[in-house]
Amino acid sequence: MSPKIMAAGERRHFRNEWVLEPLMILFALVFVFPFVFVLISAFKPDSEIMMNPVALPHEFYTANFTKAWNVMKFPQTFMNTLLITTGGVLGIVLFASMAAYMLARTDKKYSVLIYFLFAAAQVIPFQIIMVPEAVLASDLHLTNMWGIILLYWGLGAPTAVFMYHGFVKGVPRELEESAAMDGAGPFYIFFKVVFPLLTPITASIVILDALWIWNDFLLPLIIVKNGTLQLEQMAFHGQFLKEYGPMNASLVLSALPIVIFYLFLQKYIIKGIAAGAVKG
Amino acid sequence: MVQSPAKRRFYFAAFVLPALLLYGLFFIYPFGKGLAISFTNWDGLTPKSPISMPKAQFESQILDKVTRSSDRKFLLSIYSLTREGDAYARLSIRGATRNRVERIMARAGYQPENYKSIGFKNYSDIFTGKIDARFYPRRYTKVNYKETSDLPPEIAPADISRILLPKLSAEEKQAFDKAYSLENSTYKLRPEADEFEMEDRVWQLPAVADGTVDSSDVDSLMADIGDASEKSDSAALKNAVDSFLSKPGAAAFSAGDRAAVSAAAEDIYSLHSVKRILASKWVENKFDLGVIGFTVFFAVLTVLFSNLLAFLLALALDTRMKTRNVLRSIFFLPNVLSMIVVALIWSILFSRLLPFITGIDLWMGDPDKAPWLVVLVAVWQMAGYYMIIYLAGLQNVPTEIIEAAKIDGASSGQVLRYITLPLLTPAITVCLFLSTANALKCFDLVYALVGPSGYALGTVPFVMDIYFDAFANKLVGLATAKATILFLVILLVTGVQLLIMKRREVQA
Repeated sequence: MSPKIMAAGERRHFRNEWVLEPLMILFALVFVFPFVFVLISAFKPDSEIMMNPVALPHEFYTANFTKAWNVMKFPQTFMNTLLITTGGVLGIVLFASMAAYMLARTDKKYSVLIYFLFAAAQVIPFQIIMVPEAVLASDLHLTNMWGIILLYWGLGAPTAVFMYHGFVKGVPRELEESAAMDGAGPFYIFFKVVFPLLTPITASIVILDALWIWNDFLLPLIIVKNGTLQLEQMAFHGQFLKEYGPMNASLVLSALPIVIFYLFLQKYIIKGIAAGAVKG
Repeated sequence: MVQSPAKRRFYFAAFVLPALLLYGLFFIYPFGKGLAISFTNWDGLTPKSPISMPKAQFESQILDKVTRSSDRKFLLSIYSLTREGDAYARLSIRGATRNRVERIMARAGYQPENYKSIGFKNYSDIFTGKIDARFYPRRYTKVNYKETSDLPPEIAPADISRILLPKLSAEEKQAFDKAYSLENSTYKLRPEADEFEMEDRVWQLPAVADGTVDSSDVDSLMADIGDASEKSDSAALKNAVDSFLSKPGAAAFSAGDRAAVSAAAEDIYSLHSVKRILASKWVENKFDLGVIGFTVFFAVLTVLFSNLLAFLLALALDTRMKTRNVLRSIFFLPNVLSMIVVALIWSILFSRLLPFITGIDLWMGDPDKAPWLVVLVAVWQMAGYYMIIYLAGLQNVPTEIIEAAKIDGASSGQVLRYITLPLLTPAITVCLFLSTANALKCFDLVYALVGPSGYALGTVPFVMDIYFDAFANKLVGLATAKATILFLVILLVTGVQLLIMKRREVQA
């Protein structure tokens, strides 16, 4: 039976929405309160936070932000994080989609074997590989913002191959075959014919991996040591532990890019994550 | 596609090799290397080939055992005698050169003290309880006060009435009440209960101050009082006072002075005994979850609560509420933020806001609350993610079936139990799998919330313990062995879960 997506005006488990809705809104307010608290506190000098942490700020106080911006070297840090996220995601999507496509379209034993090799990686905790990875990265001179991108390509490949593989199997071969009849080579077929058809799963992978790399902490910590948003945020916390105003401002700064990204693309992000989770 | 086999192989390689090579180099190779390291005692610093080594040792342990002359020559091109001529040393080596040097050394049977193969010792140590006690659940005695330090100016009454008072004899209780008074529901050290001032009462006596009584006599009086209280021997105290008062200069004391000396001596004696009482009786028998215990605690509770919350939220949002899209976005929001940011937001709440609102100072710093708070933050962050998956699952439950059941008179609860839940099994499978794996691998969040103080709070998950072993404690071999065990545990738990859940899946 084909599942039917819910239409407006019919619903099932709760009928009393007029009770439920206010309750849910109240719960949502409690849920977002930590954000609101940090946001408001970011505009208060330390003395005000100490006196009364819940009061609204007396004035529009921005010195916290100036401090956080300068100490975290925000523009540079932001660009670094953007660079490794973009570079990482592009490489993962390119290499994983190519590999998964060829693996799914080759009906050979070795092809299945390689696929399982990729799939197996998903249960390996990063802690086993972290020390050798750090040694390897330093041997190959990869302990910089460009080098870590290569590591992400390798570490992100298995999940992405797994997701692409599942999707490619559902894409009919007819288009490719007719393109091949017309004399198109495999590269042309893949990039011009197949890759556009993979857009839904590509979107999922881009979103999942972008969030992963942007928010990643442990790998940058052992490879580049400083310079990404998460690392600078943690360092800032270590340095200004008791200065709540600047701490709050730094948190707002670190959260802002991803929150903006989320606000604009939330529909795709939520859809992509739901699809990715079920496929993965 | 009609292609020659050679061409097909070429294209297969062209498409698959880039990903495979990257994966092999940055994932499989370190994985294998990690497994290998878990059978050594590597400290993470010692290179397999020494940077320098005394000449005699280098010759007898390595050079003499290298059989091939080409290897020998190669080794001597890397190592050279130092200027003093008593040791061999090398510059830093990388890549193929290093590999070859290490191979030659291994063939010669040389292993550095801190990077040698120890078989399954790491594993057997973990299973037989030979590693750091904080790894295992354990009982321990928490000592709240050390006799050598000053008396605490304030003690929380809960502590005193629960831990200390039941253990005190009437006499000890009296001594305690002499030093502490209950004010505004805390035990405060009485201002007069100050050892320095008590001693001063003797030092300030005119006969002592002007030197008629020798100051060394006063010193020995104080020492004797200390000894007497050590043995809780009040006769010794009396003797000490008497012998002091019979010293040559003591004739200068008036009767009032004499009384002051024995009063001061008694006060000091009693103060010492309070210290002794606190040190010996203000102790608690505590239970520490340890790394293993906390990992299980954290995994079970976060999996349970985050799935429960996610499921309830999804059920509530699977209605025709006008605000459902906004609500969904709000509940998902914590999930797009990094665990570091989430953890730091909450630690500000714990350290600034909650003490202000509740009047209780310690939140994250309290070992009784910390594990629960870590779970709370994790659930807060992850629930939105599983909610999305449940919501997608719920929206795939066909409305006709539910309506048909309702027409047949099924209650909402029955619909949930007999229709929705069975049809939702695939989503539950995915969520259980993801939440279990996520909980067992959760590092950033706890690291940012508690850091190294987690050991004192009993909130160190397995992955964080591994991190500290590898990068702070210089126990890389042990750390990778632990990681391997974690790998097997994740494999086992998620595997069993998938097996059980797959059997329960039904088709709509």
